[in-house]
Amino acid sequence: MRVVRTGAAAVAATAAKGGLMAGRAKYLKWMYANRLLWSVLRYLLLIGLAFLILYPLLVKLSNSFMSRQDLIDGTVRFIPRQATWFNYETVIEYTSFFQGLANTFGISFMSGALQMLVCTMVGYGLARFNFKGKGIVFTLVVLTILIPPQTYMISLYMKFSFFDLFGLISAVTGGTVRLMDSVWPMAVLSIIGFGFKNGLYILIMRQYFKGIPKELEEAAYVDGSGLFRTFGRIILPISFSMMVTIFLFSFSWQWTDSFYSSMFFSQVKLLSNSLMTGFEGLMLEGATVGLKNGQPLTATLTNTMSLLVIAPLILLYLFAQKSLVEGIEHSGIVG
Amino acid sequence: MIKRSAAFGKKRISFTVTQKRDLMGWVFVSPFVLGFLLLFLGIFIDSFRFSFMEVNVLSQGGYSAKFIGFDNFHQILRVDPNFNRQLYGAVQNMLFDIPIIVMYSLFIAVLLNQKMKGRAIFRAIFFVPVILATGIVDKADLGNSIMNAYQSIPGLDTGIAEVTESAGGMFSSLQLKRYMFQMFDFSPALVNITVGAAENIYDVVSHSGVQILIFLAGLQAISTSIYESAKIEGCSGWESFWKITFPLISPLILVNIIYSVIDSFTGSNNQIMDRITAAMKLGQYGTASAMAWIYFLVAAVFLIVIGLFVSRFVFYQNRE
Repeated sequence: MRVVRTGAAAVAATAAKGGLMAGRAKYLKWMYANRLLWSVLRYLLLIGLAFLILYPLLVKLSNSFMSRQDLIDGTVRFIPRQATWFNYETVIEYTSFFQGLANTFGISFMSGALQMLVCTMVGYGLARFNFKGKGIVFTLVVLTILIPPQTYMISLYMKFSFFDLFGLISAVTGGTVRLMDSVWPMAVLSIIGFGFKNGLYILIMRQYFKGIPKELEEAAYVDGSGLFRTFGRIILPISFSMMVTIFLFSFSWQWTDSFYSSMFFSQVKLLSNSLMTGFEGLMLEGATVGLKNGQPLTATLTNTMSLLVIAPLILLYLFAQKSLVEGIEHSGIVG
Repeated sequence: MIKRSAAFGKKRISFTVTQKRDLMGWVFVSPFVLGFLLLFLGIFIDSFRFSFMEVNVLSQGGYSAKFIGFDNFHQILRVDPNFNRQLYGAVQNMLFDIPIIVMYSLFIAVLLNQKMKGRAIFRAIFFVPVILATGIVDKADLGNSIMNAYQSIPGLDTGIAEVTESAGGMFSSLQLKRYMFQMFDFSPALVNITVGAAENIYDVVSHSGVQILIFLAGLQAISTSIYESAKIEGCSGWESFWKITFPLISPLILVNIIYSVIDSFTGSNNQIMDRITAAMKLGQYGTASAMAWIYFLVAAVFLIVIGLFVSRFVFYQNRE
């Protein structure tokens, strides 16, 4: 695309200089037609795929504005006849949405930041140092992505219900600590690089560091910069876009996670827990029985909640993707 | 110290210095190693032991375990009529999906990296599958009457859109196959792959969000000055993709292949994973562990073979 454009510009420049020749003008026209065709094709493709991705969400969106009359009216399909904020108001009130939002944000931000730093560190260690046993460590990293946490759920639960650090805590206090319903289980898992799909993040960082030239660090070493200073001042800035990506992964997966949330934070108000609990049994004003599963209104409220869970992440991404463009330009790396 | 060794260039000293520095690698990987020892090793050993045992959960808490040798494995591989078939199916799906997913996601990442109007919006839309990857919305949608009603619109949910629906009067997938045979003289394997890809387009789209994001971040790391100098030398867009983008992104192609293999093996729509978690929930830890070990060994073998094969083509800027 870019190449084509400058090709056209170059042709235009020479054409202006040497007088318009018929052949060149024809070539120019062909270039523009080509460019136009390509951009039309590109938009067609992207819009089509975007529709495929968004279709379920669009259904939820139109559904979330429907009033109760619309839900039982068979002629209402996509566009609500009596649009209402009722569903949003009910959901926000019933799930104490803003409290859940704050809690979820706190936990997601903490694990995102910790996992980002730890995985970058481990990835750097695996990419740049030739110590003995590196192969084994790397194999173990890949292995941990392969084994999903569902298969060792019970051990994990026991570990954090009766938490002990190599027998140190029970030696001092005479008993183990129960860490459930605090941020500690996630913090511990993040610090040791065993959060959700952390092996993947380590793998990404390792491959990324292997791909960038060593000269920068070597120059820093020659200038007398120490190992950790080089890591902090040189390596971290040039891997900015990768780190943002990892942060986005772990933040949004913690945000929408139901596995760890239901295990570690069953008593904490989290968005994902509220969504999984659903709206069965909700008593509406003027009703004598609570909502039942399978009723249109229950489903509508779940749809509304799904949208409310997803929306902040999309907003976050819209901001973060700017740094996915400028990452390398900050770093000042040339060639 | 490093400076001195560089200045004097003494072979012996510089060797010990780099060796010392290499030992510092342990400091960098220490969080992971510590975590492995603290958390994972025990789980590993337990599940390995359980796979040779009959485990019964006792009602008053705790469990009893009896060593029964290879009986669990024998049961799964020889007696169970479904396991081998499901294992074969999982491998087949994986081999079929990986090339399509990786090629598609690289293509989309390159598209989303070009300058155009509305790029931020498109990027955000292609980020949605990443958010949905944890499956929470799917879980919440189980038994969702409204979503079910809307997804009865033919083909939209499964993505078997126009290709199989002959309603539009275009092609059915069978006709499409026949045309491809007759008109273009494609080989049958190629025809099956392309038609299969078209039919699975929704699966491909929803399973490649992570890969697209990884590629997108990797593309940022390629310095624009390389493209500029290539342009000045008269390199076309096609050439600069194959000569610049492709080699420089190849380390991440390896990541994405590994991730796609794992995702395909451990994804929630995988029958064997369902069986393992179901057996876990029923408290049949012996069978579940044995099944998990067989399954993960098969997955690991494929991972190693594919990883070694692909890594021969990966280009790193520093050769060691």
